[in-house]
Amino acid sequence: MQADTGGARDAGGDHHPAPYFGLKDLIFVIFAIVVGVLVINLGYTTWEDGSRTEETKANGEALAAWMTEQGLKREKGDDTGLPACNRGDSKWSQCREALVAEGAPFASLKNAFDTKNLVFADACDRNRLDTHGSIIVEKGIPKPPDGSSLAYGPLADDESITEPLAIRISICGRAFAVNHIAELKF
Amino acid sequence: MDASRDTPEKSTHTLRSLVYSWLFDQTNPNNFQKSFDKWISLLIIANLISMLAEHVPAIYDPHKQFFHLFDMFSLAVFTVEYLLRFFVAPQDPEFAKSGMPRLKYIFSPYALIDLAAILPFYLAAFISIDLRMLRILRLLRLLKLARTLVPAIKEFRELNKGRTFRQQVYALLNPTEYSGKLQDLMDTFIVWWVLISVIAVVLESVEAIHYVLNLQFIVLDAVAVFIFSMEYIFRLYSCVENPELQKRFAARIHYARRPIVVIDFLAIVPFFLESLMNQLIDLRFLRIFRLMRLLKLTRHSTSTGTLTKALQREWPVIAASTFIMLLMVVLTASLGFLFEHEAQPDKFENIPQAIYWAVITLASVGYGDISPVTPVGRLMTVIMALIGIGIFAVPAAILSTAFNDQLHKDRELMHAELREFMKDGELSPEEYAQVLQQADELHISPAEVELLIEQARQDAAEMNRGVLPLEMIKDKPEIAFEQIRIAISNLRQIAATGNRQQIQQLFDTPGKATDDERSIWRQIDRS
Repeated sequence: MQADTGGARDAGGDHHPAPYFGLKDLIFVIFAIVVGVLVINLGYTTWEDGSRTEETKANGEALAAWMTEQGLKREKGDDTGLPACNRGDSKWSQCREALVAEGAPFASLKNAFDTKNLVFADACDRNRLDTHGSIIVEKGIPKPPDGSSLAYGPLADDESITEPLAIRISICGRAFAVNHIAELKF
Repeated sequence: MDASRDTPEKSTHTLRSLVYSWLFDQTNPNNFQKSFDKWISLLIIANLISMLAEHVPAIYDPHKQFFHLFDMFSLAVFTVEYLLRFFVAPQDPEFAKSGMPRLKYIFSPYALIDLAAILPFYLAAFISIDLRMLRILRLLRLLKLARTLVPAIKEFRELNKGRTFRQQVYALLNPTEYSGKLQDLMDTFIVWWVLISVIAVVLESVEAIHYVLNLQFIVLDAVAVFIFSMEYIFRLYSCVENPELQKRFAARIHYARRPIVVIDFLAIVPFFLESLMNQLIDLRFLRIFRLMRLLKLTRHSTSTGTLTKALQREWPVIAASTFIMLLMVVLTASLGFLFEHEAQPDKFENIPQAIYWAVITLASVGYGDISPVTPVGRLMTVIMALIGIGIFAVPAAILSTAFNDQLHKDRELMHAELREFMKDGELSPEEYAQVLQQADELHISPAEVELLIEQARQDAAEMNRGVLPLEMIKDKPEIAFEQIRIAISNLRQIAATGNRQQIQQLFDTPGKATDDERSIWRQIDRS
């Protein structure tokens, strides 16, 4: 149980005391600095991706708030302000395009990760890089046998939105991780 | 200010001297100075956490009142601390020599920092100060940690004068005679970061929390990885200063293969892999490996060392009982398959599948998802389960006994070392500190340490009188033989120098001595 003497070499009969700071020390310190800079850089990149995820989440939340509000109007058969999204002979693709059209509530909506990427996608797919940062709108179908819970699947472009739909909004965030935003009735 | 009154009054127990000796006297090891400093440091760190939390609306908005109360509480504590230090300044040797000790205290760097930590909030009552500015000024409270850090750095520099950079790094990361308090602080810092990062990993798995604190978790993880990476690299760099590794070829490779160092590596590697490769493959599962960081704490605990030693010592017995356990599992699974396969082909499809059922049954877990239905299968299960209770309990009992035994041995070793220290009848402050450290590692309470010291002191006193403690004699017949001879020689000397007649009279007085004692006296007197 003796205490570690820690570097006893110079305490003994070493006739050539080691320099305070040699070349080997310098190499190690440089290596440590390189690793430190790498961690900071990777941390910053991850933080940037995290910030983009937050931005995408905010977009998703805004869309969820709008759809929830308009969902109530649709239920009563009222006008949502976007004819393509009203209850009628409309398809989801038409409503989606109307949402981001010029002058529409989400006209300025862009993919926060890359403006070239999709704004809306069917799923978060690592093999389809353009889905990174997209908003995923899914349709809920009652699960058998009693239908008390819902199973969510892609809301196809040609899906009719005449009847009220159970919707789940998610986003494809950092490292293609799916973040669920809200479940609502539209 | 009356200078004559402001001189140190250690001899008289005035309120000021009592407060000073209870809370601030660093030379008194039995006062509350260390605890007081520790709680103040914890409050400073809690303030930092509170400041960071205030920037997260999801946390701050619903708990505004709590944050305000905590701030008021901190302010009150820091104010009381400042006033107490001001009050006892004439008692402090640092200021006592001055003609105006309290004035000298007010303008001392630490006091200025203390004042800066509280003054803005009192000024805010009179002058309008922006809330954001106040929050920034609260960062000044962090400077209060200087009171702990600066003396530790000074001590470390003093201890390491003339030593190389690498030796200093080694002393900073490992407990050595050159380490001092700075190494303790370093250890505490690492332990705190391990705990913070593990709590973060656990909370991250709660979707609702992760959703709100996504960015905060990213920052926490990056900072933790930065700290742990630097620790890993500098441990690897300085390990050659370890006396055990100095003579080894490729010492660093040998060191890097040690289990605790492998754990250090595994604690940081998921971050690099995930950050560099997240676009290629889904490596989120690696995040759970960040919980390995918890194992880093084993470096700071002796319990795992004791367990490892116990395991190494009892390994052959544990291996033998494990072998019997495996035999039992395979036998039970085979019999289960034999009797139940036809009745339940889906559950007892093959022997490997039946092994799951066998382990669950023998270990008395009994989930009940698979159970025998045939009469022979049930009978066999009853017998195997009864045997299993005994067989599965054996390794646990061995391990528990070995652990206790190892702890007992370590304590005996410490006791022996204490006796060695006490040979001269006194315990130097360095020896006392070493004993306390070892006692802490062996989970011996300070009260028990004091008892051990007292016992060692009595043993030393007896040894100095030529009497060996019975504990040391009982297993050593050669020493006992020598001690008896010394005792006989002493008796002869007493008999030769004393007045024999008077001694004889005393022995003859009824009730003064036993027959055996009288008989021994006669033998001595005759020779």
